[in-house]
Amino acid sequence: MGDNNIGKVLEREGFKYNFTAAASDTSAQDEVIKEQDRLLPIANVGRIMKQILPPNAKISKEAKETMQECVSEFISFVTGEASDKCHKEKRKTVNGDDICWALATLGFDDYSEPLKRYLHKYREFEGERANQNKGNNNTYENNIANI
Amino acid sequence: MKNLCEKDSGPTHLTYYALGRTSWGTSSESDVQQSSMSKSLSLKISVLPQQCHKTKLLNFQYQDRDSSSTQSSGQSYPEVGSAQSGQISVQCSNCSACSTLNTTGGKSVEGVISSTVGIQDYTFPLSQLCYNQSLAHTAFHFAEPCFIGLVAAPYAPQPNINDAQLVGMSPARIPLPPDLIEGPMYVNAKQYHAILRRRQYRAKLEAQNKLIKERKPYLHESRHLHALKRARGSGGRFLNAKKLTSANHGDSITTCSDVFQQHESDFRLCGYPSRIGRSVQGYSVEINIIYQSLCDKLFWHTSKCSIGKSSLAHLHYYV
Repeated sequence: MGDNNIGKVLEREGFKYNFTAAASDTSAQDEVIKEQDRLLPIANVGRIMKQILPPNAKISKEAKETMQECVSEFISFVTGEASDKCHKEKRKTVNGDDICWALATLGFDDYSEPLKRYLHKYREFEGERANQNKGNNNTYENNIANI
Repeated sequence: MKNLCEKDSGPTHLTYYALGRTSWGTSSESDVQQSSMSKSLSLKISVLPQQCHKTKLLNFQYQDRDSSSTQSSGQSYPEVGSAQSGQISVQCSNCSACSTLNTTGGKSVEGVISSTVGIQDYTFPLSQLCYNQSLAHTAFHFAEPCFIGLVAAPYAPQPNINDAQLVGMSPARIPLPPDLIEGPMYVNAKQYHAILRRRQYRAKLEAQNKLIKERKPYLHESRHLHALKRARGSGGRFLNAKKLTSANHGDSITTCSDVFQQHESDFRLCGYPSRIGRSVQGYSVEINIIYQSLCDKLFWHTSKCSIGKSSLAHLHYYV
């Protein structure tokens, strides 16, 4: 008797899920932007907020949601400025330099300078790793480079 | 002679009109009101260095052409009457240049003329604005340099006042258009255009009805159901393989209130709605009949006997 009821409940839930999916497919024009496409993951935001707090501190759900909205809007704000510059220069790719330029243009000079240094070191690190992989693959080419 | 005068005044007015349009392009579209008056005043302060530069160019043109200032000043008076409040200050700056030429009486040292014109340009439009409109707080703040400029005969004290005003106003702020009910909002000048662009983008999304109405407690139905089925230990945490094996032999005794509080905190960590009654709705509509006291018994019973059995059976046992 209990097993039969469990089966019915599961079938009912499955049917509801399919109906919801079908409804979203039919109304593609009024497709709502998904939460995961517009906002950062809330668990990651909470984890970053926790890094600066003492170990026994707690963060409310509302605080995480508010910070999630703020940081997502800030990302769109800075990226919009960088995208506007790329559009004027007839370029399609927004790179790190454009983000640094956008931060400086919007008045966030205190963030732009450290980010440029970070970008410089990041490129050095990536370059070294690429060379290391290349050297491991081709010993002969590595010997030529040494000579 | 008249043709020369007309040619001289034409490009001059065009230059100042373009400058006015560039600086007040946004505020001129809105209504001319108290808030717009304050906006134009603040814009005037921020634009002041550029107008000084333009005045120098104008003065340079007058020196070359040696045109009669009487006719040009006569022509500018009717235009001032018909112009808007934003353009009145532009025309007044032109008048101040003419009056300066009359005062100096022709040719003199270029450096002295440029400094004098800069000071005069700062003083004259403010007095004109004070006469035209009555401003409660702004008038008191800006009237002082006007009176000091008028009373003092020599030019010595005016540069100090001008420099002090410019230094005090260095963090310039531009007012946004009053979209909100609370009135104008002053923002960083560098971020003005970016903020307007973001507002347009959000308005477009809202027009297309693409913004999220409410937050969903979970993304995937199947994962949610799986989480509800998982065995939970004391305190509401999930049991892993080791704890599940060892818990079969042990006993767990807890009071009803402790289990209730721990379950509630666990729901918040998992991202479920804070109300327990709403989380039970995930199973089916029939279980909405359960009351609050029954929920207490349910979780007490579930936490005690959840080992080796699924919670669905217990739910239906109480239904």
